[in-house]
Amino acid sequence: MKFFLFHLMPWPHLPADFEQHHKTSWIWCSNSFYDPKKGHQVYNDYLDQLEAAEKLGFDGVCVNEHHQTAYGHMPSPNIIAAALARRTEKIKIAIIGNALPLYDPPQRVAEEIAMLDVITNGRIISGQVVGGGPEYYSFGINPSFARERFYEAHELIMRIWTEDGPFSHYGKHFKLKYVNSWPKPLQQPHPPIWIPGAGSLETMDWVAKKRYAFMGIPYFHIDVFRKNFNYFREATEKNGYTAKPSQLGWLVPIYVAETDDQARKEFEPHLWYFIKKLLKGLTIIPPGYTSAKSMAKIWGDAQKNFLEKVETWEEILAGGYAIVGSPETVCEKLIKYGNDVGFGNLLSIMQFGDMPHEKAMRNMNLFATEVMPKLRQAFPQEN
Amino acid sequence: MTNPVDITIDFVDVRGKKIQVIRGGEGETLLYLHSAGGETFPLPFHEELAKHFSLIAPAHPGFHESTGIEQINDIEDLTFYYLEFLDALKLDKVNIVGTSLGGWLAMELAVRWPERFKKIVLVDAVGIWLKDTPMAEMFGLEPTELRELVFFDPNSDIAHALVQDEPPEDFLFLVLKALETTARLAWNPYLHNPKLHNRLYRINVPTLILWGEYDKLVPLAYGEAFNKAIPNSKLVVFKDCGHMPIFEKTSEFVDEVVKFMKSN
Repeated sequence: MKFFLFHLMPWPHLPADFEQHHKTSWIWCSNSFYDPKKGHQVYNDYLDQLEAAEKLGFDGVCVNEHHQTAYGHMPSPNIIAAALARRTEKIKIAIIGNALPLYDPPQRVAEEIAMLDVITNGRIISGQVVGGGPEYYSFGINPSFARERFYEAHELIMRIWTEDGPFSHYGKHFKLKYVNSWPKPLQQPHPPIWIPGAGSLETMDWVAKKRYAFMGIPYFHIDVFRKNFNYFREATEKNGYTAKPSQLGWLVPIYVAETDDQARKEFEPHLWYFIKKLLKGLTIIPPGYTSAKSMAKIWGDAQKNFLEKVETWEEILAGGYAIVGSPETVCEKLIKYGNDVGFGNLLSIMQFGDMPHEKAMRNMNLFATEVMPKLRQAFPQEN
Repeated sequence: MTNPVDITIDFVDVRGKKIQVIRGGEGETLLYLHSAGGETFPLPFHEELAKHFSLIAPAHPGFHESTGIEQINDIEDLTFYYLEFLDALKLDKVNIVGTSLGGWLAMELAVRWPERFKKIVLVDAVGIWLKDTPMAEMFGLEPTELRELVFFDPNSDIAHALVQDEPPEDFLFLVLKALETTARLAWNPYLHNPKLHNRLYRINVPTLILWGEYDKLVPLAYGEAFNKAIPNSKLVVFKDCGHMPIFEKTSEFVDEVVKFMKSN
């Protein structure tokens, strides 16, 4: 099993009564809530946490892209990756992802990922995503063409990395007379590709066919991951091979303290900050982003098993929405889910909601010293 | 007094694409182009119009059972799709009524081929952008918010019938398809073509502009702007009415259309 520290870079300073006056922290949530003076400290705390991951023995860190929201104020994950590139030496930096349809032209992604890969001597993982529903409002990109733009940009980027230029690209969404990006990535034929997904069958089939890695998008009931990961493994078999553990990643909030009670006490307020303030709006799905048929299904099915609908601590624990407890409890649960659901990459969110820096660091330390070694023993594959 | 008329639905094949058409009545042809709301199943206003005209009301591709949306990426594609429709039905010098999105489409057709139209009625039409009076957001709304936006009386039976809180699955599917197609055509630029305003001078046929005084989606300022830009036009405003006069002022709407079409 490999361990990644995943960071959302949430804005931790929303007012206590935020949810009473605001429907969402996305799209329309005024950036007057942002305070650059506090922001300076917030960014640097979060960067300290990501840098500490290397010393603590994590295999990598994950950064991600969101726009115009308090949920995560990391609009350019590539900038954060660049900041980490020279402050770390060994760990992988997974950028999951660049929301390809938001880049025009998509060479921007090919160039920046290649730059980072060369600077870090090949430590970059390129995550590629369609982008969240709210981002189609925020960036004025037509959601009807989200998937088309994603696939076209993806194929173009892969071609840039694996073929010599210059060449022309005249697609439906991007028209480029000369494609000839410098630099090229150091990893050959290209950096590993991670595709996050919520469980669209088409996406999982595609990832399996391409032999990329599938990362389950978080905040769903554990049953959803089990079902999706099983589907993905079957899809790889259909494509004539067996999924490697490294092809599956589970992204989950984790909190470790000395005892179960203490862990709950320390963690729970930040969980509700996240659910009540930050999460609301992530599921805004603009028309056309998902086909009308899938939409009808999503409304009925998946939303029932989504963190936003959860109201009690008992549901959190039962659904595996977050893994919280003493080192023994956390270890036991992760071994159980590791065996039962199956994943080779554990992407842990260890600073959650408005959790302060010291608490996040304590959590990371305890996890790294008390939990990680036991999990490495329990899941020796690809260590 | 006029007798009740039969309203029928059939399908027209236009170069391999299937277009659903509501028809009814006799007399001079009236082509009705529907709004983003997708009034593509028989409704009272269809029947009222069919008492006076030979009504032809197609469903745009992507709406209801009309096909061909895959080949349409913007309003210009839809305009040419409708040129093919006019040709297929041999409609020449036709009278046209368009509500909202349908009004925009009518104007896109008329600025290109004004000779194909006899008279035009625009009802709370979109299609241009007034920077001092932005159109409201129509996407991503809860049913309550959508009723508030579109209807003068959001609590009316018609508002609840057309925007249902918990629609049955087949109706929900139509609503989602309608929104999806509208987004495809009009997500950005939002509900307008930046080139249209400067082309409106080309509409040289008599044009009646009907507007709900309390249209919160497309404020009356738009009706006034169309009236100013289209040479031979007249603006009539319905009191106590929102974005959808066809529902909230059905008989007044039909009366205005009849009066206008029958006048010299």
